[in-house]
Parts: sequence; C-alpha cells; structure tokens
Amino acid sequence: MQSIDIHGANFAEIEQATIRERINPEFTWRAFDDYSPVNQLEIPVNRARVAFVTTCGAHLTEDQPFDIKGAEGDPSFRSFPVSTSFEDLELTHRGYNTRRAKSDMNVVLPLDHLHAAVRNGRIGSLASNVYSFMGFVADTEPLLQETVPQLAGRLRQDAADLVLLAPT
Amino acid sequence: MGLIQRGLDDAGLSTLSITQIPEISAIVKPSRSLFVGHPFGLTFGDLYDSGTQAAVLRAMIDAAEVMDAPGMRASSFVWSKDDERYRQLRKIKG
Repeated sequence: MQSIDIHGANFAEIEQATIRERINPEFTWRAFDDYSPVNQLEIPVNRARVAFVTTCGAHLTEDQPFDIKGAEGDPSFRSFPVSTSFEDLELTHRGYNTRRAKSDMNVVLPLDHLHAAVRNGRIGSLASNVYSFMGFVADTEPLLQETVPQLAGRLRQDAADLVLLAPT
Repeated sequence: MGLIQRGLDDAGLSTLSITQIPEISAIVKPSRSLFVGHPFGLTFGDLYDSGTQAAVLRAMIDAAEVMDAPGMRASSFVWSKDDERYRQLRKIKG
C-alpha cells in the first residue's frame, strides 16, 4: 500500500488491521490498478441538478435501520426526499459518534447548505432524493453487482447531472 | 465510498467525493476526490460551524467544476480544534 501520510503511518493499513481485529478477520481493501473514468459535467454547474450520496447511515425514522452488527456489513441503501427535515431522520452507523452528529446533522449530511447552494445560484437544483449507506461493507460483491447498479438507475431517474459523495 | 463512486463512474455519471483517508483512495482509486482532514463523524466541520460546513460543500462543487483528470485534490480543511482526528486515525482510545 502507498503511504502518503506526513507522519509515516499508513492509515489504510491501520484501518484494515482494526477491522480485522474487531469485526471481520477476512477483511481486505478492494484494490484497483486504474482510476475509474472521469465523466465531466456536461452543463455549467449553476444549471446542474446535484444529487447527494452519503455513507453516514441516515434513514427515515420509520425505515429499517442498517445492520451494524454483522461481520459482512450492510451493502443496502436507503433513500429519502432531499426536503426531509433532520427531525425525521435517524443515523445508524458503527463507525462514528452518531449521538453527537444528531445534534447538528449538517456535519455529515449538509442538507441546509445544499439548499443554500441552490438559493444562491451556485448549483441549479437538487435531485429529489438523497441516498444513504452505512459505509462498512466487507463482502463487496453484492454492493458492486447489485446495489450500486440499482443506485445508478435511481440517480438517472432523478436526472442527476452531478453526484456528490461524502463519507463519515 | 470509493467503491460506490467507482460504480457510478462506470455507469457514466459525473461524480466527486470527499476522502478523509488518502491512503484508502490510493487503493480504491475513485475518479475524483477532495481531501478533507476532518474527524470521522464531522466530515463537513464541527457542530454548528455552518461557515466551515458550507465551505467544504463549496469546495466539493468547485472541484467537480474544475477537475478534468482523475486523482485527489488537496484542500485547506484541517482539524486544529483538538486531537480527535489524530486519535481516530491511530485508533487511540480516550
């Protein structure tokens, strides 16, 4: 693994070792030789419809929570309208302090700032739905073969010109 | 996150992500990412720090607008409030 941390530590290796120790002894980062393709935005960003995808584990309070106990993780996603109020959302995640984030969900899910970016003309509009994952997926085949193609289809239905993705 | 982004890239969608651990992005190699050196769970900034939260989002939009080649874009977003990110990355409890 390439080490680019200025202090000499390789945090990918540390993270992998921690996951193996605490959750799944078989866990290994899925590596690729080449970058995935860059698809340039085809219209000016101030006219673009922007979609947001997060791994913060957000879901509607009435939705089934993510599986945060299994060693294989959870490859599924939840969706909710971009107009949803924070009070109608729950955060289910094993990798960060969700209780703290619930007091200001903009720290992981910047809905207020996305709406502001539309109001101030920086982006054209927001796609109608937000898509949310829990983030930890040890068995990546279901994610790559089933879930992500489903997500791509949903984003096309939403007419997203640009997809912004944020981890937690 | 990188695997999800790769799948969307392969499907022809235009994407831009935040990365908090560049070493993982160097392994997974999603198309375009912006490095943000904030702790896990505070990706866009501290609680109620709407200025930083909005600035991180603006930086994502700016990066999506100008990056025409794959790779990671540096940013000025670092965490100086306390040692939370330092401890998180090194798995130091307490």
